[in-house]
Amino acid sequence: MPLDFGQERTGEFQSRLVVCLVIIVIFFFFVFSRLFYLQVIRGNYFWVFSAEHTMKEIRTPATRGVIYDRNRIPIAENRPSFDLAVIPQHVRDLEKVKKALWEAAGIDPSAVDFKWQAKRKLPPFFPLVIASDISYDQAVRIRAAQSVEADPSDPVDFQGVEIIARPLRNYPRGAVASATLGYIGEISGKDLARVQKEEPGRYVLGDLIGAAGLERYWERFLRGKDGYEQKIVDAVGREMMSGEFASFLRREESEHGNNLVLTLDSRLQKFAEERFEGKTGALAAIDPRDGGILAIVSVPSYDPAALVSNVSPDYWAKLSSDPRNILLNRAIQGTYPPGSTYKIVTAIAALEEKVIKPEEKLVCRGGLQFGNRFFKCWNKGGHGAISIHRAIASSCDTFFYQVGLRLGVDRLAKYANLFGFGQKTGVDVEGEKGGTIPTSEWKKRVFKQEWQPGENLSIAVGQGYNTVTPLQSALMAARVASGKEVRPHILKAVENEEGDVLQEGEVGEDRLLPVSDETLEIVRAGMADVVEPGGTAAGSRSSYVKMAGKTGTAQVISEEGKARARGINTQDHAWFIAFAPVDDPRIAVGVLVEHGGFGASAAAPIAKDVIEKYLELEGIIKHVR
Amino acid sequence: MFDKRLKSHFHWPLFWVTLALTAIGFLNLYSATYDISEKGISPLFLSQLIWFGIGMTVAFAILLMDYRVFLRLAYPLYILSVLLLLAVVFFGKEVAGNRNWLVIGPLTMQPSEFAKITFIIVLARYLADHPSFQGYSLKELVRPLSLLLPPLVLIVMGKDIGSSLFLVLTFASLLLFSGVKRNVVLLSLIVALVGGVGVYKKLLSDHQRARIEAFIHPEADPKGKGYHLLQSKITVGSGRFFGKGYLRGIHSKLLYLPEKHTDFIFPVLAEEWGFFGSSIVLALYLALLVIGVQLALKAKERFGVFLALGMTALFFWQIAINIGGVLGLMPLTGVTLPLLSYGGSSLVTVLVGIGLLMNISMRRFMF
Repeated sequence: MPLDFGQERTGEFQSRLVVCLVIIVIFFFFVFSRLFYLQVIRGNYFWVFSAEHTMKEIRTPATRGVIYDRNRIPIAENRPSFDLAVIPQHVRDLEKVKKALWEAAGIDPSAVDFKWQAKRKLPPFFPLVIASDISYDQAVRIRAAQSVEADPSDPVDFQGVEIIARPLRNYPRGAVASATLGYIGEISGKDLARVQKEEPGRYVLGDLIGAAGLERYWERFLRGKDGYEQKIVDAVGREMMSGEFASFLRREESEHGNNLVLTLDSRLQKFAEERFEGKTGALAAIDPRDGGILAIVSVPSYDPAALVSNVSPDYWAKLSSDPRNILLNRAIQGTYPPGSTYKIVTAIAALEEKVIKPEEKLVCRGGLQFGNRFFKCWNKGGHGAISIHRAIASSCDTFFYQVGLRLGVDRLAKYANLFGFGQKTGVDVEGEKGGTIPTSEWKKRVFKQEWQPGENLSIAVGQGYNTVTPLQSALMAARVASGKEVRPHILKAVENEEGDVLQEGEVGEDRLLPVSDETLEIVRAGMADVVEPGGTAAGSRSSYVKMAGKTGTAQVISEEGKARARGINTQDHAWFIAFAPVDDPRIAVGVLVEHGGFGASAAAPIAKDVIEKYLELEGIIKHVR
Repeated sequence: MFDKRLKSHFHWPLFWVTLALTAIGFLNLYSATYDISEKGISPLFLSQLIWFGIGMTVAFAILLMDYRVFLRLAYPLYILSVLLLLAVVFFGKEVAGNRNWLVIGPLTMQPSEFAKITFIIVLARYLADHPSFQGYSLKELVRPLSLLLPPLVLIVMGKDIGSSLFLVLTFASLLLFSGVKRNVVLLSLIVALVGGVGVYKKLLSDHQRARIEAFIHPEADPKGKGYHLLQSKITVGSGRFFGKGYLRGIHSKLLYLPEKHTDFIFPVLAEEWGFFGSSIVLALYLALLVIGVQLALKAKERFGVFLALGMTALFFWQIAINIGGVLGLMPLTGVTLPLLSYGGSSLVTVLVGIGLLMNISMRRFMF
């Protein structure tokens, strides 16, 4: 197309272009007026908010929910604490600030230097915590010194120094069930990323979060909601009071976290922990009527109060390097071979599957030859011909070897599962392990091997691949005692600050186990005779209450291995499971003492004492010694 | 290079206004990117200098040819820009949630900026070729609309809501100016209303929706959605009459404001130079727009009128939406301010637009 140089008629646009000009001018009129309003009429007002006088948001940290035991005795509550911080933006002379803090509160100047190096990563108005959880006395002295009118010629300067108050965990009864209760720690970067996705803005760097156990499992309920309060402060950090901008400032109250009421009895818990003094092991005690956990012990454990703030690196090093693995909650995370306590399961399976009659007697001559191997009974002399009742009471291995052969691995596993083994119990505590109950299919999957008939002998007496947790053992005792499918739980209720129940603990359905009463009666009677003369734990008979139990000794290592092992503890683990009173069970316990030797001597006395203590606390028996 | 007559029609006021705004822009950008703890010149500032050089070169090249060349090149340029936008959809690079960047060797560019210019040229040509003295009817609008849709859809696909807004606004401005039938105005109002609600619900991201909500109720949530607007107002207002002084705009420097070198560049200026300084800048902008309209008024053929007015409309909407947003007169949209905001493609686009205006001025008596 050739360029068209002809004049076109454009005059029609004249008036419209004038309209355009008018629109532009009108718009600019609005912008000028607005600018005049913001900068000239309201200029001083906004100036107050800009950096020389900053609008600051003071976070008011929420008070964490209190954890109570069943009798509403607080186990974990809160105390006020003070953090010392500086706001880099307001610090005029760091040397003067260091001198001021040293003179007023004895804060180590090198600690200030150390923290100051980290400031470059943060915005300058962000409080830099120099020392956390300083004493009340220190906080008061700094506040008092700060309120004095500052003079530039002073050798000290408090400008930019802040005291931040926040509630911290406090343990009024000392360490109680600490492995299960867990502890509070500063949120990790990984956790922060995770919670930011779920609940944006609820956490910031440096916040405390439940790091383990119940504190972690119930974090969502315990945390509460931080509030904030806006303040106008001048550069020295002093609040400016003026009605002009009071209407502009906002505040939101923090919301107290929800309280947890546990099924735990802290008195029993304390008693049980003291009973374990110097030992390594675990205990779980359950109310067989509803599955509520009465005590849950894992020793050795840590002191949660030492982990609240200013955790000394030495303490951490001690915790993490201890060969006894202190951070493990043995009651739910420790998996051990159940030893002879497992014979209870074998006995029930045998009776239910009718591979043996209640009165049928099998002969024990100190062991059983199977294939080319001789499987020993603990009693070299042999038990002679005995029925299932006596076999439980005297823990005859030979009897259960034969029963195990008749049952086979898969039928046995079915009953083990029924009584709570081989899977997580679903207890409401962080990090539970499920243990292992082998089946023929399991062995094929894991080892790519067929199940050998000889293995039926080992697993029938709780050796071999079987592993269980102390909580599972206590649960088994509780289910035998009640005949019901009780579920272990530690939470009785979640309540708000006013005490309204928000959520009840999960008790589960009150279902009967698909096991006949006759079978359970035979097994209970056998267990009752364990602590009678002729039983394996006759020495732990209680003179106050009739109880039923079963000893167990879990091999850590084979007999041949023991000869070779040097320097490591090869002594067997000691087990005892029990419930009482036999005719109206109120408590079921599982006790494990690592390398304790025989169950009868190491674990049974603890179980007996804990049972007696509880029944005494409950007023069922009177005056134990 | 230029004959006398061309030189005599060089629009000096337009030149000086542009130069003044550019100089202020660089001065202010230096302050906005100035890091109190880092010191030294920010790489953003240097990059903007390079883009300024590129923009000036392109603008000068445009002055060398008669702007009516673009009459012939209108459609090829338009098709090229659509192809580039298509390339962005397939090979584009995502920056801050917006997939509208194209990487060519060491350069990253935004074809959506280029498309704004080519769309104005093609629309100007179409309107020049198809005059309608009673105003366009609905039927006559089908073809201009079909010119609008391809770049619009592609830009929306790149999530560049700001640029698509300008495309629509410039289109509407030029058509309203050239005259449309009353029922068309009515219909487009209805479409805009229904479409607006649809866009609000479907196309806008959460943060864009939040900005609109914050505009309607800014004090409802000062910590959250209203935060940016509130901080912007504090920054502007705290400048008071004479400002806090150059490089002393503490409120903007202390990171209260996000993207202070692009969307919130005006508050940086207003804080440091006060009502006094920002009024001067506003006056310069007003002058730029008035010159644009004046040039449209003086152009002697339809293409020149529409081209000049199209460019002026583009500048007007950018200035209005950016400044209106940061001052709380309308919702914050996240668009750049011509000649002040950081952004290479945007700077080049504005300089090319001014080059075209200058071109129209220089060749208005060549008949």
